[in-house]
Amino acid sequence: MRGIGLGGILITALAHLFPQRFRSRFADEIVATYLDRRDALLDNHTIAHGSRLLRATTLTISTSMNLISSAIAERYQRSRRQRQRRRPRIRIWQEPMIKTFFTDSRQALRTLSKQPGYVAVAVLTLALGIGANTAVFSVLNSVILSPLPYPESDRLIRIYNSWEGSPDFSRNYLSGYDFPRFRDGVQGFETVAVMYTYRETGRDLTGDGAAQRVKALHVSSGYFETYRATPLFGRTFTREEEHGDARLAILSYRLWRNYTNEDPDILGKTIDLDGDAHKVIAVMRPSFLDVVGGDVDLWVPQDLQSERNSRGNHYLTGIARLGPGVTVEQAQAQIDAVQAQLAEEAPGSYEEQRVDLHPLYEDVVGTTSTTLFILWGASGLVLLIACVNVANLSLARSVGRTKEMAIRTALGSGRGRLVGQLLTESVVVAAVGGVAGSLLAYWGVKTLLAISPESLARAEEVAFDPTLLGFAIAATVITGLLFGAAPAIHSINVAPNESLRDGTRGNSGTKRGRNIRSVLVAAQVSLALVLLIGAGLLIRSFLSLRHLDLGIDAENVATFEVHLPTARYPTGEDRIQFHLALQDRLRALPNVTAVGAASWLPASGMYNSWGYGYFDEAGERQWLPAQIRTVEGDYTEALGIQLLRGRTFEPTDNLDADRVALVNEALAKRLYGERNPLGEVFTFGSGEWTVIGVVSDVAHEARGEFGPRVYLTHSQFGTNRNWALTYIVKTSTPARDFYNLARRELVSMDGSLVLYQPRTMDDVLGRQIAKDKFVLILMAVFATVALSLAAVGIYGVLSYSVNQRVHEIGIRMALGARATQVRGIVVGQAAMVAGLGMTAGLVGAYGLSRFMQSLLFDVTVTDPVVFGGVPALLAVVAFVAGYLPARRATRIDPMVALRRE
Amino acid sequence: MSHKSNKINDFLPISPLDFQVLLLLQHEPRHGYGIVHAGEELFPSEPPLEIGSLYRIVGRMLDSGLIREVDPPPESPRDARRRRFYQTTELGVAVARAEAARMHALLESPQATELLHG
Repeated sequence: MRGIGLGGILITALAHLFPQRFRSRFADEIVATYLDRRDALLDNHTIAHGSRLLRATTLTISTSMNLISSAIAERYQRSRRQRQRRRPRIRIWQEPMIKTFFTDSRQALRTLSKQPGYVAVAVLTLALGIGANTAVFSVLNSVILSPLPYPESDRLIRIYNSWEGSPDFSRNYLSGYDFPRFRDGVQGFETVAVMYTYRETGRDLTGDGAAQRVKALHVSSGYFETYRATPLFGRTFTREEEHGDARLAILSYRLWRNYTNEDPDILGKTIDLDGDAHKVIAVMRPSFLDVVGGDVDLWVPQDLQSERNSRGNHYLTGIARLGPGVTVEQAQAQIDAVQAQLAEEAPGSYEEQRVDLHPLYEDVVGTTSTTLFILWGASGLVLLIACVNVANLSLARSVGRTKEMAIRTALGSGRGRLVGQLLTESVVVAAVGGVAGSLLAYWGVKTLLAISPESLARAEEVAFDPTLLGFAIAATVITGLLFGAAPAIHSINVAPNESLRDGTRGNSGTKRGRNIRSVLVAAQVSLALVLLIGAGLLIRSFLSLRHLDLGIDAENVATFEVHLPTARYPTGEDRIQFHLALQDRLRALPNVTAVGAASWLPASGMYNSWGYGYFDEAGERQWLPAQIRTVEGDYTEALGIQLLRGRTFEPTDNLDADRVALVNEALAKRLYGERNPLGEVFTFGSGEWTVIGVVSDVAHEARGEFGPRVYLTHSQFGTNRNWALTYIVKTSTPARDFYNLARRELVSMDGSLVLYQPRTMDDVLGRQIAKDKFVLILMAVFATVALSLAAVGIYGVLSYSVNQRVHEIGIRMALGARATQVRGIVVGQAAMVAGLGMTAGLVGAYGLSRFMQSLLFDVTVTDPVVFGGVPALLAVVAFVAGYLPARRATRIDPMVALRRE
Repeated sequence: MSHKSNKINDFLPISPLDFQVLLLLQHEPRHGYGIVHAGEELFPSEPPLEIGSLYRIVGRMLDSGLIREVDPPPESPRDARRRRFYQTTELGVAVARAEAARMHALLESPQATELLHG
């Protein structure tokens, strides 16, 4: 017989892995058997020595592995056997599963109907958590996370012209001169196209009945091909049709349906646009949507041949599809080469100009993403708070049921049946909450879309997403199960008599249980505080935005657009005469105090930005990018813009007089300093203009961006192009009733004209801050939900704790404690929980608030009012939530409380 | 009888390893290594009995009365190593027989015959 050896030691050690009983029975034998086998191998002289050693090693390894797995299996099986032994082995009739489910559901409904408070709070929590989240997630998912609705959309890019060092021109348009060169010169583009998104894309669709204003988009050939969109029927535009005389139109599905009644023979027929017959060559599919050009009614060819397409006239929006495998960098290098060539051909014309390619996805989603990610974070916090609330509720309920479970186990309920019962209860609550949440989500998406500003990119595509709903339901239900069923399942494992012995309260009153719940509520308070501070900052920001001085007086100002079709008003003189006559008619209307018009309203964003040519002190020619507005009539009076120097336009400033202009204060200060700018001559477009007046600044945008601005009069500049003028009419009474009268005047002058987009100036400004308002509303909703849930949490924990301590409070009162002292105990507990949560919340909010910087206007992220006021509000809510149970505690009758044991 | 057959049927089917051990201990008592060794010799096509698994089976069968511990046969080696000998009980034999009959019936079925003989 050989010795025990290394292998023997190993096997002896491993035998200790088995449970005690097994070990004492078999450990020695296991080792002996192993040694016997090993010896038999080593003593087998029919095989070579080396081979014998190898086999012995293999035996040791395989035996070791087997001992480990057997020991685990034995331990697991032992615990199973023990559980089985505890319960008498009775063969019970097995109910069919479906029947069990119904029995359990009925039982669950019966149990739950006795606890309407719990059910209401749980369902409300679930509904809010699920609903709010799914709604915001749906918007987020459609707008940000989903790729653009085109095949291989990652190959789509946007082409910008940019002027170095000029933020005004950082993402500028392309010229109709350069574009064909890019189209031919950049091999990396599979297709490339331009569209005229600039403005004046409305057309009057005349025909049967009243004229109708439709949105038309001028596009080059290759436009539909770039998006890989094919028509429902018909053909797209060709290169040969990129000229001003191509009277062709491609209808959107919507216009084809509404205007032509789905005329199947529409191809080849004509429609009248601005009084001009256009031949319909195609109808697009209903699914086609242009995320750049927007929702339009029809497409017409872009003129790329007329002299309007000069090098300097940048007015086209470029998009392209990269060839397969071509990177943005490669295409950029190719377009740079073409650009360099262009610059070489016309020295001086392309100085400081660059062409930039941007992936379309980034371009479209752009600034929307910060907003939505913050909302996403906020909705995540709400979901978290909801989960904490559900956890808290479930925890309270399940520990309270330890005794019930013990009794049922003692009466012979199977473990599986009890777990099934608990699961069914959770599922029933979750189902009700889920249904309520889904309804809320569905309604939420609709509401979000209804209140969402036009500026929210791709809002057209937002749809209710069932997977997200599933996500939210899963999150809350799993939380419920985890915190609800887990303690209960655990309690089943506790021997029933232990639970039953444990006083009258089961495990529920243990300090540990209370601590867990208090920590959960503190967490809830801290999360709510983060949300409230976020909402607070947005409210402050919105208020300062609201009260921002934009340099205009919008009170009782009505606006509307008038577009004169070039077909019937071909010359500048015709259009100037028409507008002057219309102004006179409007001035004669009752309550009208001033009538003006402008090519673009203030605070509505950048529009025409041209180079203001002047000579600096050294006599060098310089250019300053300035916003140009073509105005008419009493523009400054109608908007309350102040004349600081010189004079405004007069009727004598017409085509026969010298060209004159107004500049704003910002431009005057920047270029002329303290000098008097009146009489200064500058170059603008192709002409020279003399400054006759200086007016106060008005904001370019609703966020109060002021900058250099030049005003020209339509009476002199109306020949430059067919300006679409927006009328600005100041009335002495609120402007609403004014539109009917104005429309009558317009139609009496020309029956086929449309009074387009009637809006009060307040409305116009409101639209500009609509996005801020949208974010604000969402955050406010989230914050309110969070606050309510936190209040429910505090209230729940405290009233539960008061219930548990009735006996103790009774003794205290019997011993002479006063009501205020008793209240102090309970409110003190509330204060501790809330204080703990708020401290953590303030730290969290401070850390997170910096991410909101880009959304805030004129408010620092650590605004003291918000960081002081919000915790105070939360403290008040916490106090109220704590006070109610506290008051109940003082009403406890000591005699009743003491007898309750 | 019916009570007894009920008890036997409660064990069926038994795992291949259990069946092997019952068969090996049917006619003569064996100790641990004896079982492993005999298994390797008599059922070379079956997977080898690993020691940990073997003693779990032994423990279970002892508990359920399918095998019992018996005195070492007089010719067994006497050394320091502790070896215990086991033999199949009457119940164990009955269970093994029932299992064999069960498998036999299964193998006799036309479907199995077709599988085996094409």
